[in-house]
Amino acid sequence: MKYTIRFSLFIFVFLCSNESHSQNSNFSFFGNIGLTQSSSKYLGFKQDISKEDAIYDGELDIWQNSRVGLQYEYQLSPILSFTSQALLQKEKDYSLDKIIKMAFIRYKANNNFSIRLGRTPFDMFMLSESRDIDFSYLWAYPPQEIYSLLPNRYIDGIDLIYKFPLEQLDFRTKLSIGKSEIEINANDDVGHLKIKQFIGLTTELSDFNWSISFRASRSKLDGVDAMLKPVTDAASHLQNIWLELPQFYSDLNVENISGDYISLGGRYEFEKLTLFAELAQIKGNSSILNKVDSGYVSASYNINDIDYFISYAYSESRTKTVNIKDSLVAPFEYLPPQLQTLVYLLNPAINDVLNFFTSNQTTSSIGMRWNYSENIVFKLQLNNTKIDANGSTLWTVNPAYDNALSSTHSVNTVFANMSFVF
Amino acid sequence: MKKIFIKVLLLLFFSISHAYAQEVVIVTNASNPINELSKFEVIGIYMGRYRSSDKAISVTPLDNNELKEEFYAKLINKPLSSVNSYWARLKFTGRDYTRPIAYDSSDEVINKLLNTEFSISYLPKTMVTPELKVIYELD
Repeated sequence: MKYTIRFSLFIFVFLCSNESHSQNSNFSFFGNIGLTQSSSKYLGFKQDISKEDAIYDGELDIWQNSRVGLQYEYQLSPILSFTSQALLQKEKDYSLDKIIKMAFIRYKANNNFSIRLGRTPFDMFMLSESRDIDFSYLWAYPPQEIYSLLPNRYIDGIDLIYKFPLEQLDFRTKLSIGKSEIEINANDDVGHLKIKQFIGLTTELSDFNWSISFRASRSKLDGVDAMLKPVTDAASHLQNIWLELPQFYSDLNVENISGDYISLGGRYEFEKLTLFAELAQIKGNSSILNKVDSGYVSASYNINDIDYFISYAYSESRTKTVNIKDSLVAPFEYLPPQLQTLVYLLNPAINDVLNFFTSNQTTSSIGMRWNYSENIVFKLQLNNTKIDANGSTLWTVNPAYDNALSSTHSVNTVFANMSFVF
Repeated sequence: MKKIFIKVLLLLFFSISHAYAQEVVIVTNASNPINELSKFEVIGIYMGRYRSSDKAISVTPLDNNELKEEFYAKLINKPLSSVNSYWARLKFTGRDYTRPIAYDSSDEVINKLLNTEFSISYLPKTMVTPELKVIYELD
């Protein structure tokens, strides 16, 4: 990734320093100023699973849903162009690698075929590419059940895009290959997962008033072993004592984890009414990457400058619990006191690992988008989310209420945004 | 007082009716070999979609800010905010697109069309001069 960034910077500086090319270059901005308030003292709202901060009852937050982006485009020739994008939002630490979301060269072989080389937006679900471009979509906050599970924003690699007309429709397909990095924050433990191999296929058929798209991708993950090391090291003290330990290690499969992602989504615009729907599934070959089925339906109705909308979204995954005491070589009471303490401490940690990627919740939303001007929109959205026991991966559990995980919750979250493009 | 109020209302009604009643046409330089475009081709050109014909590939679209709102309402039945959301999605996700070049007035558009053979734009039908030709009429 360092090489991608250095290369992009080199291109950027070279192009900016050459003023004679200014007619072929273009700077533009986008952004969002978002206020968020949430109603639970047990579960804190966070933008996605990479975020450290969470919003609890009574707190008004401006950082979780605010961002500003700058895009620079340069047309080197009719067939060659360069695009880069920097996005600033609240992060735990700032680095160029984190800020740069796009930096690629496009080679347009002809009207049908193009290649992009460098850092391009992650295209895993229908809104993944435009997740940070708030102005471009309807909601004040896109369905959390799909768009907060994976915090990825970019991929370093290459993609091949082919498009052609089918009667009066546009058909577009894209093959992406590359690698990326995900930051995951689980109650103050920050883990870095590397996507060492990513391959994705996007197929989209569209008219101006409707589109239907299918996406399928597979990624191989690296870094899970380091993230789980405290738990696996502690568990190793129960070798030959806990009978299910070999199975636990085997199911984790930390050396060879891969995840599969598929999504089918569509949009249809009538004169005033627009319908959206998407179904997605994430599954992996490790017990830490549970299968998650999710989806949403949404409808908006336009009256003058205002779009009123309602949505319903869900995520479902299987929860797992183990009880170490049930499969010991000897009754728990006969273990030495140190091992009894270890079992007592380790059991909840192991259940946390097994349910690390477990989201079971539904959200009903109502809101409006006021198209104030050509470049500015205001949005308001109220979410009511019902979260099942052990299904709160998308939320931060308040450390003061550790037992919050074992009960169901109903949380109201309000978003008020001003989104703009220039 | 009542008569004045009615007159103002009538004046407003007719001025609004007039604003939406004017005919809008797609025009190009008279020397451009293209003689007509279909609605599908005009949408493709103005919305940065796939251009399926050689004549659609060859033209450069210009936006006329004086008439923009009416033009897109007639062409795709959408408000400008929807059009801008659409462009924002294409532009900021790194897609390949060609957006129309914007000019502030019909006079500026005419001036540009007279100086470039392959540009196209939209004007009120009443402003079409002999140096320009109509290649599509919006309903």
